[in-house]
Amino acid sequence: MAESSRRRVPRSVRIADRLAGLVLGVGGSFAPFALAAAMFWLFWQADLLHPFADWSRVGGWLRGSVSLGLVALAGASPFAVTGALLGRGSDLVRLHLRMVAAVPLAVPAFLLLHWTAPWVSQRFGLPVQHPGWACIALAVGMVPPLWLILSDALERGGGISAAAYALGATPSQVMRTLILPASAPGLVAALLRGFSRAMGETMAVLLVSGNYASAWGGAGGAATVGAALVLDLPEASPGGGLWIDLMRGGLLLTVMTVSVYAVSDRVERRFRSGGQP
Amino acid sequence: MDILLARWAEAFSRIHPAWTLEVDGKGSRVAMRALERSGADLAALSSIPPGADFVRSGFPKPQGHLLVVVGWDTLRFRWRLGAHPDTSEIRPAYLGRESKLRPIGRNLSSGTRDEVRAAIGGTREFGSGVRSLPSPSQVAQAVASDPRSVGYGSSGWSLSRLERSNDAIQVRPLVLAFPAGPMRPAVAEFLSFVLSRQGQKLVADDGFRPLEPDSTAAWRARLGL
Repeated sequence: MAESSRRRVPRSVRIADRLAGLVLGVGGSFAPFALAAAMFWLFWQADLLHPFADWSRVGGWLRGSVSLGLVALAGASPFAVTGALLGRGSDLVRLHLRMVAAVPLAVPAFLLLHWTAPWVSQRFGLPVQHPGWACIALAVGMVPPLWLILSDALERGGGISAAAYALGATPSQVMRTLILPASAPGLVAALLRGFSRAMGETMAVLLVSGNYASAWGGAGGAATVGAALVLDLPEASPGGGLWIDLMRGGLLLTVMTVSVYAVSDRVERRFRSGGQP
Repeated sequence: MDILLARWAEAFSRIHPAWTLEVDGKGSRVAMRALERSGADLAALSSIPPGADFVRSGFPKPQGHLLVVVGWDTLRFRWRLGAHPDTSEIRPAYLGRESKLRPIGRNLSSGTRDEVRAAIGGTREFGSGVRSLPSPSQVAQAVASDPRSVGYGSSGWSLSRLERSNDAIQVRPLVLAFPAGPMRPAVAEFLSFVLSRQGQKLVADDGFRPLEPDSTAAWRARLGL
């Protein structure tokens, strides 16, 4: 049986499969070194002992990135949690979500910028580009991936809940006492990942935020770290004050996103291993 | 100053069809860097590079470059035609104070941003709520499209949908910078054209203040043109 199924796979497909595995394997092993090299370069360029760099400016960018991520997460979470709770187990929903989750965040941002924002601007006098739009775009773009991860997390309680229903528990009892506690680490990991992604997002933010140094971001001259890097890095003189500020912002943002992602990964591993460290 | 440079290049090419000029507009700091590192023939600046003691010496050569003043620019606040903003609110708006205005400025690497920042109160950075855009033309477009926006720009801004403030933020020289060493014939010819009556007329046509005739004569004599 195994021999016959093997014969059905064309040789070219098997070779391509092996090549793809090799490339992915080599790429995967190289990724940590690339990350370490990038971190080392950023650390070197950030010149933490340089006396003339402006920490308040870097702080403003970081506050912008973190607050944008938090607000977007706060906006996306209710929809993603509700959707995951109500739409669990539906293959059609999952398939649809996987397709939508693959769309870059810049796409909802672009649609907001060209359809929704001008309409709202004409009727209510709000600017077409504003940090609020960036929050909405990020929140809309974060719902599908969050929903998917949360669905996976909630699936964990599926077997237990069936047993609970058989013993006469109500849906709300099952949700409160079984599903949510069992999937809580998975929920936390999913939310942390969403936050990490939103914090580092650049293109969507630049498209719709208008690069206001907003009240939540403080007076750093840019909306977020990503926006500052994209707009000012090409024109900053290497070794100058602005360059060092940008490198410090990039370094801290990288450290923060990698740390948040590492924590979410650890939480998820513990969750999958049934609570064993 | 990009448009002025393009007009000079166009007029110069008509006089000397064999010589072509490629113009790239990225701001004064980038222009100086291009002059130092990428072998550009000249850089156009709307401010004196840091370190140059232009006023005291009258003919500085910071980092070996030759700087020639070819006109004057007046930096002013701008707003949409007919918007009539409360001008007393403009400076506080840039400092991040409560205001109905939406202030717009250039991004962090702009030298003009530093000049405006110093002029409105000497703060280290604009206040919160100020929008930063990467080019003067984007600032002009953003100001022209929003009646509550204010921006700042040089005399060269010529959008018909914009008005300017009466009081100037700063008057600054338009400078051409050349690499150290002997000037190439084509570059010397271009500089001669810029300092000619026709070149100075283009300066005036673009909204800047041209040099006085005796100043152009003095520059020509110093440069041996």
